[in-house]
Amino acid sequence: MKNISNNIILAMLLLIQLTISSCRKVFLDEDIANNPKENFEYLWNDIKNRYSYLDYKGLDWNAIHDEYNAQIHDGMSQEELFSVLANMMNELKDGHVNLTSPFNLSIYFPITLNSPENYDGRVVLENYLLRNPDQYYITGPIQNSIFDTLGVKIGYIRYRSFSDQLKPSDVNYVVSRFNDENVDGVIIDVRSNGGGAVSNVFTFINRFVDSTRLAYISQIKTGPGAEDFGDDEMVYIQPVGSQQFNKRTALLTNRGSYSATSLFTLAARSLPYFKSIGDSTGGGLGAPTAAELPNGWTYRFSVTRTLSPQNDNWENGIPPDVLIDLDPVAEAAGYDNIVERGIQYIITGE
Amino acid sequence: MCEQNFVIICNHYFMKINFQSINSALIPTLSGRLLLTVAFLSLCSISYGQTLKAPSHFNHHDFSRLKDSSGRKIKGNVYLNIGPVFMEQSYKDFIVSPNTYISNGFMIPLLKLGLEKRFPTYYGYLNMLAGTQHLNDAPGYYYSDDRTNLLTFRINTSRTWQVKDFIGQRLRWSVGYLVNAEYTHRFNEKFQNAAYAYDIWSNAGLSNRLEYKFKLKTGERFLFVNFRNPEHKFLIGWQLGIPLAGAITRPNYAGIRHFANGAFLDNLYREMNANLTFTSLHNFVMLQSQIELLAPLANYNTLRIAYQWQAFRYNNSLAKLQGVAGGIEVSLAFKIDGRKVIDR
Repeated sequence: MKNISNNIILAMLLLIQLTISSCRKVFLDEDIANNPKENFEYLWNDIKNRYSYLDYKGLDWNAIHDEYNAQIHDGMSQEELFSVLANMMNELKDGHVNLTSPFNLSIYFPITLNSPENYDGRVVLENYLLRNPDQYYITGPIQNSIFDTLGVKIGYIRYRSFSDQLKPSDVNYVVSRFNDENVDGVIIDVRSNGGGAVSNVFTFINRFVDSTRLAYISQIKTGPGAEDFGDDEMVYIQPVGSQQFNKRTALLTNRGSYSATSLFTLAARSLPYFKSIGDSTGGGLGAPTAAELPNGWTYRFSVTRTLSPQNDNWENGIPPDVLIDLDPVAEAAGYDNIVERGIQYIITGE
Repeated sequence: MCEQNFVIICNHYFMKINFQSINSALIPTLSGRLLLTVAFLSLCSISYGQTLKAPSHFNHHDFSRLKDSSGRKIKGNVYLNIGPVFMEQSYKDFIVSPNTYISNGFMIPLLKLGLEKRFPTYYGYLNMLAGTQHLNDAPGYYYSDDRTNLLTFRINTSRTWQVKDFIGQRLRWSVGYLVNAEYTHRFNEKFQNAAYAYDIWSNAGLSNRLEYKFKLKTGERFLFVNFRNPEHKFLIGWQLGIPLAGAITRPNYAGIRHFANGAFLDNLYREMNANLTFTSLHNFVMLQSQIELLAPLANYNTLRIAYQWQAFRYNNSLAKLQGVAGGIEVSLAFKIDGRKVIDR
């Protein structure tokens, strides 16, 4: 009798635990079916709910659903599905929008390809950075040089990518160097700098700031509604480091100046001694998130929006103070007329 | 996969009952959750009532009222518990993916460290469980994608008091409380600016415990083991907990970690505060269950083999999260007090 009760109790307790364990599917939803239709719908819905510029872009997202849904069918190849989804995403005309699969990556190219490049790296290196080879330094990710023009001493900074980690000591050194050499002005060349880490924006710009200033306003998506954004977050720049450079500074931009570089440009607009010269930046002022489709492909798009202190939304590009394209004749002669325009600003203040 | 196997066995071979449909019908709906809450609270109320109504019944085995030969009240025993937990964890974090991420948990066990109190009239524990594992979803395993690094840090404490004994005091039913705190983060570089997902929550609720002690004749050699004594006492226990209220914080709806101000840690703390949410059964349903076998060792220490299972659903449409964790614990409980061992 005792053994029987032992067994019954043990069996009951085991049974209870098994029953509890069987609740797994009560707590975990079934995965969405991995088929073209479900992947398409998941992506379309996520963009509809979380993309921060849908209204700004003036798109009828429902109409886009109908247009691309008609191209989805069972049995389509992975490549065909990728093409449809990527084309749908490219309707957003946004460089922060990508679809990544094991075999392909979608990029929206027209932001840069529909405009002149306005940058010739060889001309910049040969005729400006290396004008006085002894003065050419590579300090961390910053190429920098000092040269004289018409008796005016110019400091030149070329920063190729905000993805290149910028240490405070790198910028401190360059600014100290320019101050020690008593340069009259600085050219910061961020053309074709496609962006990177936002933290580098502040590491860089805060060494060129004279006082705390409002750089821009950021808003984050907080819900699926078109205007579901959180409170305005005021983003400031402020003097950091033992020295700052506060003289005339020409900021050179082109359509390839994107994302973090646009944030840098927007922050620089709040400094009265900065002048942006060249073409509009490419924009990309929203911070992108990333997520995954049921089939494992990842995608990204912007989930924040950034406004200037005057509430301008320049997601499609920040206009320069001086709009000027690279002159191919000057370029062929070894001159960059955008750089020359920057030198002119430093000399004349105009 | 372990639980799934249990489900299959349970559903198709032993029980012939579809538990999932029963539970699906009961728990996810508001009325189901209310019913479950009412039923559980009723059970606890009845238990409490039973305690009040039957003092004489308890007197003869209420050790807390007994004195030893020197007149001191008999206390219980305290054990230090340490050992690995071979746990499989599953997550669905809808901020970054609709897919279930499952750990290959049997590769990297979590470490459990705990204090266990076995007193004449109550049982209590304070456990810490920590470790890292790797997760991936089915497409991720297929494509050999970057794995998610999962960090788990969990603290559970509970105390249950004796309500009633059955079967000649061999089966004991006790009821009490539990308190949980958990920090989990999942890092996957493939999600770029959404690579860092976390959930931090704490909650408290009710706990229900059944303990059954039994003896095994061990006078003969068993495999390669020669037992010293002719019989050994074992104890099997099952504890079920349902948290009722607490708080949770999750990443923002957008899921991002780097904002336009470039201040990572400040943003992280700000988001944790901004997304702190009160939870109760309307938005956070959780179940904890554990079945354990305690076997005697020398020097009054104990071998503990347990199957732990925990599941939750955070039903916030903006940051929905679901998780299930189940695993086998094999640990040693070292008696760390100098008192005589009580029967329980």
